[in-house]
Amino acid sequence: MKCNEHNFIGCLKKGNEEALDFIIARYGGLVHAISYRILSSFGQYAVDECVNDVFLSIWQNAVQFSGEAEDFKKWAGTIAKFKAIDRYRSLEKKKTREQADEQLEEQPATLDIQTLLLEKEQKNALLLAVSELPETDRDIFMMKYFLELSSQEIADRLGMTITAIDNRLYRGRKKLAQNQQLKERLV
Amino acid sequence: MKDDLQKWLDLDIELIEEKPLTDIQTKKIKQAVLGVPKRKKRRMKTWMTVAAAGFTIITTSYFTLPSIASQLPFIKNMAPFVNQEVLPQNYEELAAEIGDIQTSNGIDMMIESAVYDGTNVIFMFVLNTERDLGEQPILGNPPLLKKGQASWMSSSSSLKKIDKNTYVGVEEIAPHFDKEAPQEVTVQWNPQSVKNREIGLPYKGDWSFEFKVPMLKTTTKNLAESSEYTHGKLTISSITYSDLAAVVDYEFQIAPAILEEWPRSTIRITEVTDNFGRSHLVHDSGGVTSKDGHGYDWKISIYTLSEDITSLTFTPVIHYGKNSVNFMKTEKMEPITIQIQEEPTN
Repeated sequence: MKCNEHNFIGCLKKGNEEALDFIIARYGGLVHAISYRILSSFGQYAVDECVNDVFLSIWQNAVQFSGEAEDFKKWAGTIAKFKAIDRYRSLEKKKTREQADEQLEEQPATLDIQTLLLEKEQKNALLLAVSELPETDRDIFMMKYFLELSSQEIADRLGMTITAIDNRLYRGRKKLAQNQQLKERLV
Repeated sequence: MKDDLQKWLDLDIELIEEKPLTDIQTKKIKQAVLGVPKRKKRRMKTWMTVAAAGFTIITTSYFTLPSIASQLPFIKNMAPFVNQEVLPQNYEELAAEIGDIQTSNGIDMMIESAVYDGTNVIFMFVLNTERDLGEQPILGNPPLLKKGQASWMSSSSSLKKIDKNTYVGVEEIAPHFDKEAPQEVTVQWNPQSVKNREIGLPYKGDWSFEFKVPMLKTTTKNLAESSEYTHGKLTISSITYSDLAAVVDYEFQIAPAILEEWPRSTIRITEVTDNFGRSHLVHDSGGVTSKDGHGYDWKISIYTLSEDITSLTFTPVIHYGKNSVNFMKTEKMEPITIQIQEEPTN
């Protein structure tokens, strides 16, 4: 079956390689632009690794996508955005560590005790699940679990109160807990 | 960082201008997704040939050389015959001995030694023959890495007569890899012919070499230092050190206004000086430039860095081009100085 703009989501869910060609051709420029915007200071290698990772996630998790062709662009773009930010943060941390090594001085990372440290696979599952949430909730979850910001910082950024942030996190967590992979982590 | 974060979180997916992928990037995505090993049919492509540097003869007086392969080694320790700017100063102590010799059409050819630092593959060879190959003979084919080891590569070559029957040469390959540099490379070389350029006479032969070269230990320091120009943006991404050389990795983005008139422009780093004002010869490995003026995987190597150097000043030059072959004009840009290590405290 030939993949086109009307049937590529179905093809993708079936693991049809033509669908992969189609989404790379259609959305590759977008994913590349987002990754480049965020990661270019770490070099093209980092950008390319991110682009590869985004398409791998889309390919492996296509069954989770529900929506029409026009929603797909947003989904792919959101995954690219947060994967790139996540990668940026880990590269920044690595850079800081390298610098710390040079100065022969170790500084333990400061951890927000509410922050859940997610393993890579769980991060992927969370990312894909969160991209289904309403926009504001999605941003809050990303800041909380991906960017490891405190509720206070998120509240400041979004111009909301801490209580409002915590409420949304609570409701969102309940919703996301329907995903078995995330249940034990979030509840 | 926090400002950047907010900016990125606010990034509107509908409004961002797309950045087209190159064919190589597209292939890499498919490989990453489908887990396909590198395809056998990947083509070796010579993108850009680095200008071949000349040789200087230091001495030719007291060598007597056997003329046949059985009397190996017919010459050892060739490094003194080579201009020290061409060969890294530590070449001799770092290079692995190869000693592979072949004879064809009355010309003995020996690969003496080779070294590889993840960016540069350099090997020395010697020809011994009664034939008159002229002062600076030319070899027919450049050496390559075994198929599939590099996505593309550039190379440069030098060959010089050092006495009546003997010629010493250096080949340099600058492979560009899809991923991290492999721990070992396999060089394959079928020179096919040696030509006396003065009389235009080629001697054909079936020499065929294949040898492995292990990678030297390297350490990479990420720099991510950018400089904005009206011509575009230049980022010095990292410096990778080995005992052989320092390799500077850089990227650039040509400004849209320039691309409009000069669609195939590139930025090259041509001059490097250190904090003591000493100038260092730049060995250019080339790089990739996409249609939208984004240059990446550009590398230069410096063979002469010493441990006391704390900062380097790079002078970029923009090459304005209408097509990939001819550069219409060049223009020096403002130098960029980068701290590569802390100043000593005392």
